[in-house]
Amino acid sequence: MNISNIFEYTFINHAILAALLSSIICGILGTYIVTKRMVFISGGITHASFGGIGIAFYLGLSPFIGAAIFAVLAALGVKWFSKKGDIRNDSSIGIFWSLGMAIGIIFIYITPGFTPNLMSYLFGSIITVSSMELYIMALLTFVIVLVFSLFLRPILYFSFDENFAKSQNAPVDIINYTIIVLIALGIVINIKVAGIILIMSMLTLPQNTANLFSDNFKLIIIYSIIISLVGTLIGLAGSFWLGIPSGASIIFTLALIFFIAKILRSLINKKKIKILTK
Amino acid sequence: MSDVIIDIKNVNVGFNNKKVLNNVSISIESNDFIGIIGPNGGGKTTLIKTILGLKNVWSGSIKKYIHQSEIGYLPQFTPFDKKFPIMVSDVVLSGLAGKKGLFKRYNNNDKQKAGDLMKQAGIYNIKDRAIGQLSGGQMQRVLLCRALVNDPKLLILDEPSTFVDNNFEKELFEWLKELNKTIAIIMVSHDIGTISSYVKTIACVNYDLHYHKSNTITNEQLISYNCPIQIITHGDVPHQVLANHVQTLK
Repeated sequence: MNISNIFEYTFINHAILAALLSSIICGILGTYIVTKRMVFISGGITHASFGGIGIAFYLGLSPFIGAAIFAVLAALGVKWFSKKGDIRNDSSIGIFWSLGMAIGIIFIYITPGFTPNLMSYLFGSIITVSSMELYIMALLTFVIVLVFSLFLRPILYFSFDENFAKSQNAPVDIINYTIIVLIALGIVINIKVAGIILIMSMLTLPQNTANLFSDNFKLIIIYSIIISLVGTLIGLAGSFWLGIPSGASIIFTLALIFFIAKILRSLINKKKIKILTK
Repeated sequence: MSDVIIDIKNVNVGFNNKKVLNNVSISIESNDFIGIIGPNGGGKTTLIKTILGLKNVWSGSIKKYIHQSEIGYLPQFTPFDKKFPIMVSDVVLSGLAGKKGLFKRYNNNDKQKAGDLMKQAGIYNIKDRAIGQLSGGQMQRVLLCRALVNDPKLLILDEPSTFVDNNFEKELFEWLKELNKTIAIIMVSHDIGTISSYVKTIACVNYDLHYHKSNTITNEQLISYNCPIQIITHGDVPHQVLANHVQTLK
């Protein structure tokens, strides 16, 4: 029996596998994004990629490739603009963000006789992930895990104080550009799972939950992956029982986990203070 | 025996269209201890960033006879991101970022070296703590260890005594004096009164650079250098402050 037969067995297997891979991708990239305070630029990349989806529909190409090209261009474009210094960083993010969405809408509107399921791109649809998409996700997961395990120290050290690293002539730019491209690709591949609008939660909620219990970069990554996987699976199950869209259900679950953890954390802190003051 | 390690000639630097440093020349030698003084906005930090290669020059030349990763750098104190998840010992080790690049491992020698420095700075007991839990003074010690872990031939300190308690300030300056037996040091400070007893020479930076090859300087000289800085007075004779200050210490 071919291994791909197992993957094609049911859509549920696909969904569980997609949940696992996307938890690993988002757990790692999200920790980088959250600690380096890049949540807003990630939002910009995510929304700009919609322009690529629209053009791909118009030209009859794969929406994934269109989105990937737009996401990478937006990521590098924002970085280039802010480096050149003629446009404020957050302004250029805002420009790419809205322009990408507008291009997407225009091209989808002028595509003759074809209305794709826009909702699945905006809010995600983990249960319709194809095996081709799973292969791409697996490959990307492998690359991201490899880069972050080989270069964890440089990534951590450069992120903490980029100027200092540059003063030592450390290869800061190559790491920055590599990771921003990985972020762009990671975001695009997860559009199918969480959707453009909700993907930001996958990149921020598990990491902030993990950060409540650890100040260690590596542990935040590991906890985030676990929290993300648990949240995604519970959210998926919830969406079946309640008959609600999977993307929204997953994000709602992740948010619920975050708030429960936050309350738990403050209870533990109060107990600690009580013990200390006794 | 002292060799020139960095030679700066006729350098002009600016931001956008505004020139900040005008035709600056200075040679840094291997046993120098230079105090850089000057008013805020006069270009002290810009000069340091230019030496470090963080700022491109408009014109002029900077020749370095040591490698970039042989420069230790303690940046001006800025409120760091307290939420960034990194431990004290990792911050110190990150001083090796340039020497290690992407592929070299951080071995036990490196960790030993970092440990020794942390012991010397009195922060070894907090080496596993996240930086979010540190005070300003503790953080400054961590950053000093980071600047020294790569065995620099030149140490550049930008306002090192900000946020440092008086006890450590004295220790710090004694430590620098000891280090200066083997390496060159450049230190930016606005407290010229305190540094003048430790530095060997003084560079006044205010758009122009005037290199004063002595550690005593008078108000008249400062005025002639166009370097209006506030002198912290230690004696009864305000315009002879620094010469006076050095004498009273001896």
